[in-house]
Amino acid sequence: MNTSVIELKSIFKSYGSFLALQNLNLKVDEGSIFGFLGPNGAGKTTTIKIILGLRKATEGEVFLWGEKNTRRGMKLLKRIGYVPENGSLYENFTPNQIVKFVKPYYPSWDVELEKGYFERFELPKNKKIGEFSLGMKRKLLLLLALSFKPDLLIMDEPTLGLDPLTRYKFLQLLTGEVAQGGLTVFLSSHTLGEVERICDTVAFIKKGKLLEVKLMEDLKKESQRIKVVFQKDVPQSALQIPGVEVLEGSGKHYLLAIKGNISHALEEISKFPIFVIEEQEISLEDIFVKKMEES
Amino acid sequence: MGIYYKEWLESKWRLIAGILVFCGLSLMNVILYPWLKTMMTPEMQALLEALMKNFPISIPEGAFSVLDWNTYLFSSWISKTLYQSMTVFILIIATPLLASEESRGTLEFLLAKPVSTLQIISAKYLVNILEMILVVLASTFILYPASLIAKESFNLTIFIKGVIQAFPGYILLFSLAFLISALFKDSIKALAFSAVAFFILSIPSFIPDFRHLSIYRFMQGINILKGEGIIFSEMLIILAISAVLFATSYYIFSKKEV
Repeated sequence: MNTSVIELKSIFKSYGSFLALQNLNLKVDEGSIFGFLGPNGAGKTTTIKIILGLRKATEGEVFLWGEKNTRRGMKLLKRIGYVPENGSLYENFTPNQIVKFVKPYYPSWDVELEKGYFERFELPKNKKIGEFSLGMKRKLLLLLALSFKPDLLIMDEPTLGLDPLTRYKFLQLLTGEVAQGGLTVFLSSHTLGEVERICDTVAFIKKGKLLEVKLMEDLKKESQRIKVVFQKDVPQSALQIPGVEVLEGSGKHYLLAIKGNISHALEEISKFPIFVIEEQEISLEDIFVKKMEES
Repeated sequence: MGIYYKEWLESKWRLIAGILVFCGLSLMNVILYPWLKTMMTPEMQALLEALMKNFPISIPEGAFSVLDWNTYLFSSWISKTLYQSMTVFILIIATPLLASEESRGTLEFLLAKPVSTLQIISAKYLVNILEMILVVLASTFILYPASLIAKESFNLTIFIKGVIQAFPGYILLFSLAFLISALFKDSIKALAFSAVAFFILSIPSFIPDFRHLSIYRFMQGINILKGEGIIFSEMLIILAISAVLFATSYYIFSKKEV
């Protein structure tokens, strides 16, 4: 049985009359890479801050490794690497100085690992952070979050500002760390392509309400997309088959989304003479847009 | 101890600048002495005494005794320039301490680290108080070698007493500005409100019946110049008030959400 690293129970958060989170219930299993998706203002960052104890939930409870986290639990924070969205760092410090400041608080800090990340991210050690680009600051935040071998890595838009090559390397590194065991990742991102590539579980949130939590595998099976070229013109009305949705097209060419039992849907479609039929992979972006529109 | 290292990094240039500026101000008194001595005619002394009666705060009792080296140095440095400049220095160092973590956006980074709120706030408080102490000590006791160079005898005892009595006052002002810094997200607002609070504290100085309650009057150390001892009871009261202000700052800071 998988143990929950993060468990949120009936979380509510309000700012005056504005309800930022409504009855949020969530479990993140050990060793998973959990993608937390939603449009701007959905409550992703608020959720992350409540998990860390940086904000207090108006109602509800947060458990990390089964232990209740009310307000910045020191013991728990020692096990969590965090890459915040804003990523502001002390501009007058050098990376060496910031490492020297942070290191004493993590007994598991690995100097070799730190050196490795400095090399991998090509970060200068003695240059003022104020002179860094946004991407370099993100790299430094990642270095600080990973060098003590955290058990849980929480990242709010982790690859913001990273160039495609660094982003690719970083995602590789992340999946590698998780594969080695022990690390659980919770990330929110707008870059759905990378979430799709690395996450095994995805949650959708909108206006503070959790819409769905699903394994990526199941999510993709849930809906399939096929491209059909009929031999003769077929009116759209003829394709109003249960479980089939016309995404685009008319006449002979159609792009269809099929939900549920695909063989039944294909049987119905096949009543019209087909010239070509091909299955297209449905992307997380398509799923995300659909979920947000439906809700 | 990482948090102390961080605070040291943030304050070291302020400390160096503070020592240089304050030593410069203090040495100005030594440099100006020969010129003031030539200016101090009996008529001028009489005029100063008359002014003293009308503006007892801005011109301390010892100021007219310019002919005595130690009285002159004490009254123009400890009783005047030092406490006035320290008030400005405290505004500069204390008001951004907590507010700037929010305005720079670094508070989130800081609070996500396993450093307790008490450690964060204590490090900020103690490192900067130490900075203040070093600035006062360096700029006051540089007067000793300067006196030797000027071939004057330096009364170390009264300066030690003056500094000891003044410190609780500086700590009180610092604690007040620190508390105001915890209340605001913006250093400029914290600075403005602290300046207003410092001004309010000066009001008893202008009312003869309440003058003894003035923290600035206390920092001037006129009693020491008059040959009286340090007022320990008042020092303890001031330090107790400072402790309450620090505890309140801690309470406010620990409730902050990022």
